[in-house]
Amino acid sequence: MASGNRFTRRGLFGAGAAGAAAVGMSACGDDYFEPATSHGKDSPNVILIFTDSTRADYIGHWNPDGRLVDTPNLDALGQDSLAFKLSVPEAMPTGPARRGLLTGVRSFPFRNYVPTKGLPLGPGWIPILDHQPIVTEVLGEAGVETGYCTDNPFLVGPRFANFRRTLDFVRPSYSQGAYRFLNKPFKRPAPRSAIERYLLPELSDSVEVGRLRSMVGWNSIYRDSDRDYPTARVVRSGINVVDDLKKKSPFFLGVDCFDPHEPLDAPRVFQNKFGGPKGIEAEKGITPIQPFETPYSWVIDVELDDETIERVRELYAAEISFMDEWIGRLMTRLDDLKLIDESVIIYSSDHGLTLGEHGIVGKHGSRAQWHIYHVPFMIRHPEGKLAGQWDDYFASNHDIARTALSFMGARAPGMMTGEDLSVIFDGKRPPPRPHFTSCYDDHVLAGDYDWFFIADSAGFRKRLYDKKNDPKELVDVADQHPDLVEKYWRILSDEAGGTLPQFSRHGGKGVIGG
Amino acid sequence: MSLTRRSLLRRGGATAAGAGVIGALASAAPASAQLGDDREAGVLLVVLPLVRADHVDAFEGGAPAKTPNLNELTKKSLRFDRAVPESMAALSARRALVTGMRAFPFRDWRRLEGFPSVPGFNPVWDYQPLLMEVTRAAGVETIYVTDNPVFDGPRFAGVRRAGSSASSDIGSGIDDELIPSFKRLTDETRRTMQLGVRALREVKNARSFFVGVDPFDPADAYAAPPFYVRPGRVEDDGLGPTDGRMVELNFSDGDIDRVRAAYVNHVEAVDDELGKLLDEVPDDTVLFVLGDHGLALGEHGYLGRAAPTSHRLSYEIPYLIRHPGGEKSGDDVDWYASTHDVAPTVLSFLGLNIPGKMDGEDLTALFDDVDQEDLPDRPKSITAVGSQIIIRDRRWLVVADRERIVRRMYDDDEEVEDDITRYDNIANEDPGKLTELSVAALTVAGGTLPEFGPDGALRPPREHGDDDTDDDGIPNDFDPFDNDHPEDGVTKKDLQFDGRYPEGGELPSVAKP
Repeated sequence: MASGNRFTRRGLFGAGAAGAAAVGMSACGDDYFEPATSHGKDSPNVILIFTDSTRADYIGHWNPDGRLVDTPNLDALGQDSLAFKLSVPEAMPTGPARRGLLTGVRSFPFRNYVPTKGLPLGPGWIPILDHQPIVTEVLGEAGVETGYCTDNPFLVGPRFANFRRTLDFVRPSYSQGAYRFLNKPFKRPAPRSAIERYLLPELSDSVEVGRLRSMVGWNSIYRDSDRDYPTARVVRSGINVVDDLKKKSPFFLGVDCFDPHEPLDAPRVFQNKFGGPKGIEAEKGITPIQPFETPYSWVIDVELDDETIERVRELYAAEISFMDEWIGRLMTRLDDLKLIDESVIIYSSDHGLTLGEHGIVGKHGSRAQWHIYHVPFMIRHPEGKLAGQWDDYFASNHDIARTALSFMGARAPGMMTGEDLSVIFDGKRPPPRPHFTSCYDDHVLAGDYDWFFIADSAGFRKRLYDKKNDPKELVDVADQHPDLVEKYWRILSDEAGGTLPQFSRHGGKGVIGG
Repeated sequence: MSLTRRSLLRRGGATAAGAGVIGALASAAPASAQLGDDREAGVLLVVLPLVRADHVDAFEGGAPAKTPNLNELTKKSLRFDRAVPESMAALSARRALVTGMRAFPFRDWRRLEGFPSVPGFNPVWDYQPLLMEVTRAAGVETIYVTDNPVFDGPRFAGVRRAGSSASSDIGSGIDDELIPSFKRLTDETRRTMQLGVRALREVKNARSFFVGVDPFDPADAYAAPPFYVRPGRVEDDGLGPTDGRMVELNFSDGDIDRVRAAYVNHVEAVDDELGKLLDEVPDDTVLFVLGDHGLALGEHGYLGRAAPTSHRLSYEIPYLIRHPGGEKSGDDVDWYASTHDVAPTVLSFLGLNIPGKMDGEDLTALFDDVDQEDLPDRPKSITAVGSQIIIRDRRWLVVADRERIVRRMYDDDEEVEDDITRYDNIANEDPGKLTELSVAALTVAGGTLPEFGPDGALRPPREHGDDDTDDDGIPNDFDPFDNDHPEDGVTKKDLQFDGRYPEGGELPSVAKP
């Protein structure tokens, strides 16, 4: 076989070399060490803001009439952005959603799951695999400077090192004290007495004890003021990185906050913004910042009364509010640097959190309903195109990679299965996506604006909810609509390529069939 | 300037041409390319049925067939030397061609009435994107000429028939099945290409067009082609499940010669028809010419279409892209291009957004001066026919069944000096290499390979109708405990979130018994 290597080996660096010839830059592209790219000053920056565990109904822009918390900064961003009415992550929770986000390849339906040391045990929790593309790697090859700031314990942990290696600027923060066991364990946990004011009696013998001790111990050393809370640390590092990146336009920056993840410990002034101590906090002085045993508890099991649940919601609202304030500071900084009109800003989240709905606090795969799957998603175009508009496309986190590449003029690898949402700004429609499909643990879910379907991946416990008449998804109507149950089940197995994988009990052995 | 135009055509990518940060954005934004100026006027896709690359002189010197038109075209085209269809036989190769999605590993196979019980024999499913549908929706004049019976229905509005009727009784044996199948395909090619000529004349004045000329013998949809193996071969190799396609036949060398002669006639006839078609092709048209799949011509004791043989020549297809500006003409590429790359590439040439579900690569990058080394990595070529999977890299070739019961591995590089000849099965001698290649197939399949029953890929068991799965009298209670089997060793601890050892203790080891 003749060698096919007759092209200019170094003509253009990487597959993302759009338009270089057009702007007359290819002349300098012959230097082996100087990647010639198309990006120069012509393509916009992409700034991705991602927050964990964020429910859409707690963001004012998605719930203007029933505002649960003031989110003036995200609302303002929403006014400037194209927002998606119903965005559902392609796979949940944190780990698989991050994989979909960073690779642009769906994690659904977790067919390649194997139990992995250093990550939680459960379907979907695997690192980014060697053969998968990483958005920052593709951008880097195309000559884009990339930065990522996060306190997400998985992304800063041992299993996502391959992602961090693709970055020019990495700003990991280890400030999630309660989750340090996933990367560098914290050696000086607080004494048991120090956590009594956070520990629900029903959890007094659970693993949450250790987590809270770790968190309180960490905070007692490293947290002096509001600026030291994890969200603040991440956003501050983001602001610092922007200062470095602004000279290197175009750049890609990810600001990925683990909060408002539990424990729900926003600064006190935020906690009391939405009400004061009530329920167990008023009676026993216990602030329910960790109201469940991860990943979820039944409300009756942890004996939360209505007042306490109300307080838990306030604490969650406080986290959202704090996060919103810091996103506001980031936006202000971008505005000061005049970057805001040269950058595409994408904001989204990976999943929600159940706060007493369906008798659950936490996140439960078989109850991955509206409070879990509906997340905010918006894109701010640098020119303000489609500002304040709504789109009913079921946008998802795996679309972000291809969309970012497209905005920057880089070619997306064919393996990336997300859609390019940037076409919407040109009045085009992305290829149809008539239903959303997702999965959480060993459960698969599908739906649209009318129906919501959830089942476990072996096909048991198929449930169907009429979202039009039952928006809170309380009444299972599967037995009245066998045709729809069949339809959504078919949609899910089609999306999975024909069959859905089955998992051993709680994922202990990985995929066992399908 | 042609290069400039093409280099701006991204997979829906923002082209960012011109100057000025924001000013450029408006015009540069991605799909403004959709039928804007940054596109080629038209794309012609031609499928050469059952043509092996080694029968085209421009691909392998000393080819037995005379293919002057293909040789001439190759000089003007970018040639892909190692192209293998991502799956076989004819029907599933077509599906990948028009959907841009891999059909391998046939996870979505369901047996349909009238179709053989062989994995991969299914139509384009509703959820799959369709090349012709995308082009039509974008206002591209679209004509696709084929007798493929599954290309039918509202989504295939632009499909034209050359008018063959199918017979599912294809017989068996060299004289009853194999040689007549060449004859049928030759006739089919003649009819289809003639219609293709007419189609090209029709679209001559179109603003933008896509024409597909895809000769297909309808019998290939309704019956899986048998392949013939000398009895000794079967005993030596072990073949694993062959979906009933294998026929033991002690054919003689004379039989092989007859088949080869008939096959050369077929290839030469196809080349002849292609020449007539090419006369009609305007110069500013992108020309995409490829084979659908190959066949074994008696090598290593195998004979027949899409046979799981031991060497690459029976798999490799001609694969050519002629750029209207003559870019890269006469160049060759080793990258493992395949049938599922066709749809994304065609869409990109036409300046259209590529649906995310298409997982093939956009090969127009090669005309934008992107080196083949900088294309997304594809280190192995993986294809499948029925239950058999064929994996190869630059040196080795593995034929395996999906349960990995029978795996054969061959050294397919004759230029390496060693004492392994091409037909030695060395699977037991290099288990590491065997595993590496097997894992590559598993990875591309998404982690697991499907198992097949007689009526489709096996699905998880159906719901039994009672939501009270644990039989504790409370339906839909999502009780994680299985009350039927309380002593199955699963405790509440096992069912909880794991990997949480706050004091930094050892993480749980992976596989708990």
